[in-house]
Amino acid sequence: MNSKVAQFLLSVLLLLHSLVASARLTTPPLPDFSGHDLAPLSVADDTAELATFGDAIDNVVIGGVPKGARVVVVVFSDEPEGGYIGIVDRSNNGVIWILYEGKLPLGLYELEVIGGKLSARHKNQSTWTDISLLHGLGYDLSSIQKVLEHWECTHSDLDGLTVAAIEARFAPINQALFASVESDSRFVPGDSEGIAWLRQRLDDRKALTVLHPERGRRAYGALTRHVAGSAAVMLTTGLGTGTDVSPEAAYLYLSAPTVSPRKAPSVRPRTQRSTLRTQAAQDLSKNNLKHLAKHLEQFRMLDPTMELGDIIRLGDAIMSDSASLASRAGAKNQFFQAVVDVGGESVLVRVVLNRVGKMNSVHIRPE
Amino acid sequence: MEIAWTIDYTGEPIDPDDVLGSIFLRSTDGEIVDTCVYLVDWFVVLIDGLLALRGGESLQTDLVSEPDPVVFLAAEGAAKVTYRGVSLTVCVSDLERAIRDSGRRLLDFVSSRSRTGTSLETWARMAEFLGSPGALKAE
Repeated sequence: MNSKVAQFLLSVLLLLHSLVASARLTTPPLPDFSGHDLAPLSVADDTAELATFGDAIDNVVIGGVPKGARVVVVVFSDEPEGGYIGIVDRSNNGVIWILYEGKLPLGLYELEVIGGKLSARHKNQSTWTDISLLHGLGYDLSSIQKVLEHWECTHSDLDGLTVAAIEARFAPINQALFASVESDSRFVPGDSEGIAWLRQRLDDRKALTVLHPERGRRAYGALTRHVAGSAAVMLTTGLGTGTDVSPEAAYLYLSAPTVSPRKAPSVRPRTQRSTLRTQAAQDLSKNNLKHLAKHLEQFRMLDPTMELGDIIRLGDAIMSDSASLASRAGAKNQFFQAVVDVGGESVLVRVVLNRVGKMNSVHIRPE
Repeated sequence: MEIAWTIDYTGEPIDPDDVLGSIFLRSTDGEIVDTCVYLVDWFVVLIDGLLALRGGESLQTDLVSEPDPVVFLAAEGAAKVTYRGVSLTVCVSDLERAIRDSGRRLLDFVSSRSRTGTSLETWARMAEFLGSPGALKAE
């Protein structure tokens, strides 16, 4: 009788074992996220955002784990306001950057959506901490849940490394990567200057921070974030061995908007700093200012001393002359254009107003 | 053909007149990415370009708030969309589907998140296009 019971229990155990084994083998296929609002966010390449969120970048710890061939890389900062989480979305060949509110110690965390909230759990702890997504990011919790459902986050050999350590580890890879990017036709010819700048900055961080500590630190933070992300993608995808994410694709996706002469921070020592803020500037939204700043580098290529306030003042001056009105009647956006002198060169500058008459773009028109 | 967008976070409520973000146009042969742009400008240009292509016309359009034009080149079989030196080969019907899918999501997002909620005059042309499939003529 005892023997029959033991035999029965053994068969049950074997059945359970085979069920578990088969469950492991039937991992759902990678979903196609195209069409979902899962495109990566662009907060990471914005130096204004980094003023708030990027200062602790040197202490960011990266961790990532492939489940099968799939990858999640999670990046947390320990800033009091919140930090970034990066999830590598291989279906988009990129990283989804999530900005969260809350305080988490440095480390690698698992992410789950629990009770309708995004929660994080340190790999060595059993308790979950709710974190909130900052509003206005263009996608919702259910989209993130779709990603999390198909990936598992545990620690990997990147776990516990600081960005600085990862940089050192991936320096040879990054150098090779930049070489491949240089010959990539997807970069416009002028961008070779941007690549050279990037390489120089990576090689000579001290020069950047000494010459312009604040700007250098923030810009370097953005750069490091992109490069570290690329390196993590490369590592976990086996440097293109049989995967559909090439290092070039990862790099281009993460860095292309950043690696540009227009985005490169000026390291020129300044003799004076313009703090001009006009009435118009005070009325402008953060979005307006951010977009104006985007085109600032156009002007700086002609006059490196120009600041955002100078651009706004120039826009005000052009708008004040009704003869400069260049948009047609009834156009969605009114705009003014005038030929002005910038750094000794005559250029056509356009000033665009939004529906309620706020300046939302000032840029140099191509010849 | 896929069109995706993201919203730039500024800490302020969404202002429907100045929705800033990034746009991603992906086709089998490449990707056009433009960051820190007024998304409505891009969608208006895409709609104008689509309408031109539908009529078999090529079009060079002005993004208004950006210095570089977007060029829509009509051709037999497949059209081309070019921006800042990057060209995508697109099927016109795929382009239309992508504009409608992505545009609808954006309009819904802006409507639901904007501070003023209903003040969407800036988005009128896009709303008209999305509401009137096939009935709109190029401006």
